[in-house]
Amino acid sequence: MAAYGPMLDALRGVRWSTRSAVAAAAPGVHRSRQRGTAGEFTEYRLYRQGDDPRALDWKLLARSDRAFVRLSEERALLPTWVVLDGSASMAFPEGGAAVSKWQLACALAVGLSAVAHASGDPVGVLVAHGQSLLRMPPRTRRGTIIEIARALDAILCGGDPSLAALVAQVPARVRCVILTDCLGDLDALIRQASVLVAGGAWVECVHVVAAAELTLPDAVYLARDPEHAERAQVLAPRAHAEYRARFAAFREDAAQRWRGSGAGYSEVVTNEAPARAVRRVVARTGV
Amino acid sequence: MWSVSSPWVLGVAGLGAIGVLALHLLSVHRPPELLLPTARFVPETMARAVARQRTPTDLLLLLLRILAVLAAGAALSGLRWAPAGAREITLVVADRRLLADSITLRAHVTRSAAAGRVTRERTASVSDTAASGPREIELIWADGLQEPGRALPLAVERAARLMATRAGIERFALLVVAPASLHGTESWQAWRAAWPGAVQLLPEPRVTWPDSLTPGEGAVWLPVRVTGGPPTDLLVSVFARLTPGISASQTSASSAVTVVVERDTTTAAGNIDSLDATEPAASTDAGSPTVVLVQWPINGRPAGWPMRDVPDTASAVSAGGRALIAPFVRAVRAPALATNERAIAWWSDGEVAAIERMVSHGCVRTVAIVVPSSSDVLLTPAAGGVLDAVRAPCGGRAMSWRLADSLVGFGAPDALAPAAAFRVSAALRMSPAARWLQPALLVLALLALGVEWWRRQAMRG
Repeated sequence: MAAYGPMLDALRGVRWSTRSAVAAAAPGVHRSRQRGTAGEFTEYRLYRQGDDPRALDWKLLARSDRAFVRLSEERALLPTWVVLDGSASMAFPEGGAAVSKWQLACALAVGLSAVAHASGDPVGVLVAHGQSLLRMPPRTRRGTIIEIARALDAILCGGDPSLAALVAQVPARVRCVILTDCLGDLDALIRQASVLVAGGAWVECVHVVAAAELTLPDAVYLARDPEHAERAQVLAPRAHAEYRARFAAFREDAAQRWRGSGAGYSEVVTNEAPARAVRRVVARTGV
Repeated sequence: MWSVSSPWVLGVAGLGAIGVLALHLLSVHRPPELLLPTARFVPETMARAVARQRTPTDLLLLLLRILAVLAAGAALSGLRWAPAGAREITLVVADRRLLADSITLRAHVTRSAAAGRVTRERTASVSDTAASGPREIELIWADGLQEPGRALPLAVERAARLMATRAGIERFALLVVAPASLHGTESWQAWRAAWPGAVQLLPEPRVTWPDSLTPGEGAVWLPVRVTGGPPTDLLVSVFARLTPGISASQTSASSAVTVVVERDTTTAAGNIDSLDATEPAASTDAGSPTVVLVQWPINGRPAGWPMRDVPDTASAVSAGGRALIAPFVRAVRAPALATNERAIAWWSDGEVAAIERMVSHGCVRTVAIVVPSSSDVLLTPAAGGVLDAVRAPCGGRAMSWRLADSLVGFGAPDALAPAAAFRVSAALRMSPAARWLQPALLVLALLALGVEWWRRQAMRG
């Protein structure tokens, strides 16, 4: 938790508002598509049978002899789900001083959760790792961020779990942030995200890329996929250019497909400061 | 003792083993493994990391590889182990008539060699076969050594066989036990070059060669009467031509005819008593009357000769020291020779083509040579050998010449034949199985390479 302290300090005061009105929910800070009678006045509307008589503007009725109802904008909460990919590939690079994709994903998850929590939104976490699943429902109480940080720190990446099945558990009309390296079941995940978007949710994919995946070592290695041991290729320096081109094409294709599904897409490299990355994601998706 | 047929192959195998050792010191490392989640984007490349190492690793594998190379080289070079035997072998070629008393022959050979009675003053010690001394005797039995030339190819063949089966042989000596009466020397002279060393001649046991024989006195030919054949029989004109002054009609009517050539197959075999007892006698030896009956059927099937399962063809027939080359159809096989029989003509493969059997009043000759009536093969000079063998007195024509000079003279007197001259190359010794086995192995190896390549391509795909 202490590792997240500087980041959380850097994110203090950042709020994560939505660009558009949210659906009806418990009172919160986000502008709701629901109109109410309390709070800040927005407009008048002719009284219709069934309206609460208490909402009538009696003074206006007296002046104009017409019954109007005072309407005001509602504020609602937006539950935020942070979905993390805990597959074996997220542990790269393992050991050493370099930040792994999982460490960055955890930092981003804690940072985004803190920002959302500071905005008064309930925050929940879903993590698939190995054969296990971590599910923390959205909460607004104090200490939620600490609980999330501790839970994420206790997780060890492994296996090749299905992230699409995890996203399928996310309810509609929420904000869902998916932190993944897009090397798993990407097709099914994008398909599931599009379903979620169609249901009224805000989905944002944060593509975590390791810096070591972009800059390969200048030596001959036998590159082996940690999730598919049979997938091994000899990695020679003369093949770096073609590798980079293929990887860039993959990332470009993934970004287009995410955006095509209605979700947002952000790419974060492990050598980027987590607070900066959180701000970038919040600024891209928020107000 | 180890012997190698193709030493250069073994040398190549040794160089190959050295190459294997050198290659073993060049190790091909497997690249270090790198866990890379984006390995799927790495293009397919063939990369090898080759490094030299001073001390070989995996000694068992190195040993197996070297042994495999050396074993293949040893197999291809014909390396074999054979018990050590004599370095010099004396090949003794003797007439099969002496087979019944081979012990006497061995003793005769040993005694004669020790006494220096072999020609060319060769007195090298000749030991018995049982003795494991520096030289041993290898007896070769031959038919019809009256033509001593038959001894030479038999000796060459036996020497080559010994070289193929035994190791350590360095030289061969050849000793021919020749009868006193010889039929010709043409075949000897023709074959003499095949034996790359000196040849020793030894008279048969209980036979003593005169110190000096005068040549030319054996040219005695008997007149011939041909009976039983058609009037246009080729033999009538042939023998009339060989007997100047006697026409065919005169030949048949002459009372001086002693050699009767019977061309009719219905005549009983060897029925010499049926001949006219009043026929004048002809003799090679003065005072002993002799009648010669020649059974030479037109169809080439003398009585008493077993039929062949499948008639075949011989390319030549040899008699009297001359070879008559022509395609002869052979319908019968020669019977086993009895003690009173001898061969007078041979096919090109050594099989007997004509036999002479001694009877009380003379001899009966059976000839299995088929000569088409329209052929002029008997009119050629080469046919003289066959015709002379037919019209010779019983017992053959006694050739008389100095054996020592005319038969032996070749090369140095004491020069033994080097064993290397009889070494049969591996290619010639290749068995019929090996002829198809090698291409089959080659095809299998190529198939294995193809399968390996295909498997690798499939793995890459």
